[in-house]
Amino acid sequence: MKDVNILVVDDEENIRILFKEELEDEGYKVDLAENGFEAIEKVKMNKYDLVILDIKMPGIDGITTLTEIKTIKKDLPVILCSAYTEYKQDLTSWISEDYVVKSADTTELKQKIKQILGT
Amino acid sequence: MELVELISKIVDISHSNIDLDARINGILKLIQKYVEASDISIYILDKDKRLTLKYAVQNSLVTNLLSSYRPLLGEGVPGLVAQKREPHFYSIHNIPKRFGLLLQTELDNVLSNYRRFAFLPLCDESKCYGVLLVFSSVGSLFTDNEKKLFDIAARELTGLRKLGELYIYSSKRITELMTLSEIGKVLISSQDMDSILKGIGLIVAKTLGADFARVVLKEKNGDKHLLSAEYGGVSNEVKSEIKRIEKLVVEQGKRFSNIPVLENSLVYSSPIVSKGQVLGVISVVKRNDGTANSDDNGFYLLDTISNYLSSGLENIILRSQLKDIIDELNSAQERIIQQEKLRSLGEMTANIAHEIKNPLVIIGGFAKRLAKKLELKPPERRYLNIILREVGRLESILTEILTYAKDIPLNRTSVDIDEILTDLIHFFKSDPLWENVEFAKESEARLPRVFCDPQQIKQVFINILVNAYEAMAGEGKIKVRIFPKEILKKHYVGVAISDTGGGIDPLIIDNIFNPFFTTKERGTGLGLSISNKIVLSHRGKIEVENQRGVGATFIVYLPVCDDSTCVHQNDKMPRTQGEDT
Ligand SMILES: Nc1ncnc2c1ncn2[C@@H]1O[C@H](COP(=O)(O)OP(=O)(O)OP(=O)(O)O)[C@@H](O)[C@H]1O
Ligand SMILES: [Mg+2]
Repeated sequence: MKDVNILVVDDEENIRILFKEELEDEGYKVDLAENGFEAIEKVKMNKYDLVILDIKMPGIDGITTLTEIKTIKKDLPVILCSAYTEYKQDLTSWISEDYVVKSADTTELKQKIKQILGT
Repeated sequence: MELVELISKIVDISHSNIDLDARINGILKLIQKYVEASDISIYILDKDKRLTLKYAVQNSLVTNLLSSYRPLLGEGVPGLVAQKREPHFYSIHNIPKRFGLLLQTELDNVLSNYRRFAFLPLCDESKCYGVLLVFSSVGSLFTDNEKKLFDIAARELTGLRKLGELYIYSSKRITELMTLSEIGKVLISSQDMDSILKGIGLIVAKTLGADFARVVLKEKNGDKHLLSAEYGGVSNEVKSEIKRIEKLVVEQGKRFSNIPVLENSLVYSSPIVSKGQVLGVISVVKRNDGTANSDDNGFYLLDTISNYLSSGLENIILRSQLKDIIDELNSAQERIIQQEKLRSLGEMTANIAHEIKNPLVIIGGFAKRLAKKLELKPPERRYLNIILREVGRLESILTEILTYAKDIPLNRTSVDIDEILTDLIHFFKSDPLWENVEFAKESEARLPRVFCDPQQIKQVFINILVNAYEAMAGEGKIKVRIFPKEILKKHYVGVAISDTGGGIDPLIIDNIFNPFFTTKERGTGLGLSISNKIVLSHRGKIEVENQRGVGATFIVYLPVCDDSTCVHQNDKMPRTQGEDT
C-alpha cells in the first residue's frame, strides 16, 4: 500500500505525540509542526495527503494557517481540530474539509481521515 | 315656682350647651314638678311612621306598657295627636280605654291611679317629631297656666328634636365626606390595583361598621372578574349568596339593599357605574341587629361611595395598565442585563474550559494507549477503565460548557410547535425508561405557527421534559398544554409543561436558570440556562409556576411570526450565508 502522509499541527507537544502514535498505529506516516509558520513551511516543502490543524495556537492561529495552506495547495484536505465546539457549526462548510472536537477518544478523528482519504 | 320663672328656666335649659337628651330630660323634670305629674314621657315619630317611647323621667308600669307597643301615625290618642298636630286633654272620666291602643288589659287597672292626661304634639309647620305625654294623679283638669306651660315646653322640645336631627344629618354628612376623602387618598396613592381595592374595602367596612366588604372590578364587556378585594370574613355560604346578588346587581345595574341572607346578616350591594357601563360592584355584609331600616344605618353611603369610585376607578384601571407596560419594560431591561452577565460569564468559562481540555485529552489519550498496549489483569484493567470513564465524563461536561458559551446562530423556519411536541412525546413514550410516565397533551385548535429554530427549540423542550422526568424519579404524569397567548399586544404560542415531581424548593427557585446551578448529583446545571438562552434569543420567555408539594410547570412563550421582524430576518439570513460560501 502506498504511504499516506499526514501533518499534525498543534502547539501542545503531548497532543502531537498522542496523535502521531495513534495515527501511526493505523499505518499512516505522521509529520509534526508546532505552530502555524512551521506548518506553512512544511506544506510548501513536502507532499502531504492530509493536514490536521489545531485552531487555537500562539503566533498565527489555525484559521489563518488554514487560509495560507489552502492558497498554497488548494486541494490539500485539512481537518480542523479544537476543543471548541462552535467552529463545528460556523466553519464546517467553509474552507476546511472537516472539523473534529479534540478528544481523548480518537475514533472520530480516525473515521474522518478515512472518509476524506477514501481509504 | 312662678310660671314666668319656670318658663325662663325652660328656655335657659333649652339654649344651654349641654347634651341634647340631657336638655330634654331637664325640661321634662321641670314640667313634672310644676304640674305634680307622676308620669311624663315623649313618643318620637320614626321614619316608618310609628311612635316609639323614647324619653321618660319615671319608671312606671304605664311607661313600660307604652314602650312595648309602637302605634302608627293616627292610631289611638297619641297617633291622632301626632297626625292632627293638636293637643288632647282628658280626665279620668273621658280618657279612651287603653288610649285607643292595642295594649294589654293590665293598663286598665293602673289608669285609675291618674286623674288628668295631656297629649301634646311636638310639631312645627313642616314636620311632626313626636308627642309629649303628661299624666298627673292629682287634680281634675289642667289649668290655663299649665296649658300655657305645655305650649311653651312643647315648642322648646320640638326645637331640640329638630336640632338633634340636624345634628345627625350633619354628622352623617361629615362621615360621608371623611370617607370619600379617605377613599380619594387611596385612589391617588401609587399602589397597585389590588392594594387600592383592598384599601377601599377596608374603609367602607370600617365606616359602615360592617363585618365584610368586597369590591369587584369587572372586565370590560365581559362577565369575568378582573380583580376583587375583600375585607373581613364571612362563611362560604354567605359569600356565595353575595356573589349571586352581585351578579344581579351587574345585570340590572341597580343597587340591592337589605337582602337578608344566612346567619342573620344583611347584604347591601351597589353597582359602580361609569358612562352607563357597570365597572364593578361594591358589597357589604352587616349583622342584622333589628334596627335595619332602609335609611338609618349609613348604607346610603354605599351609593355615594360607588358614585365616587366610578370616576376614580377608570383612571386607576388605565394607570394599572400603564404600570404593566412599565413593569414589562423593566423586566426586559433586567433580562438584557442578565444576558450580558451570562455572556461575560460564558466567555470566562469558555476560556477555562478550553485550557483544561488539552491536558484532559492528553491524560485520556495516553491512558487509552496504555489500555491498548498493555495486557492488563483484572484489577489494573478496572483502574484504567475508571480513569477512562471519568475522562469521558469530564470531556462531555467541557463540551457542554463550550457549546453553552458560544452564541449559537439561529436557523429559523416556520414551525408547528404542536408537531414538535407530538414527536417528542412519541419519542419518550417509546423509551422503556419512561414507561412509568403518563403523558397528557392538550392543545388549542388553530394554533399559529412559530418562527424559530426547530432544533434549538426541541432542545429546550427536551431539557424541560428531562427535568420533569428527573423530578418525578421516572414515575408520574407530565401534562403538556399548548395555547395561543397575547402579551402586550404581541402574539405568542405558550407551551406549559407540568409534572408531578413535588415542585421546586422556594429557596432555590431564583437560581434554577443560572448556569451550573444544580441539585442533582450528576447534573451540570446547564439545562435550564441553555434553554433560557435559546428562548431569549427567540425573543420569547420562560416562566415557572411552582406548586410546592405537587409539581412544577414550565411555560415557554414563543413569538408568533406576525410582524415585520420575521420577514426581515427571513430574507437576511440566506444572503449572509450566500456571501460567505
Ligand atoms: N421540573 C422540575 N421540578 C423540580 N425541580 C426542578 C425542575 N426542573 C428543574 N429543577 C431544578 O432546577 C435545577 C436546575 O435545572 P437544570 O436543568 O438547569 O440543571 P440540572 O437538571 O440539574 O442539570 P442538567 O440539566 O444540566 O443535567 C435542577 O437541579 C433542579 O433542582
Ligand atoms: Mg436538567
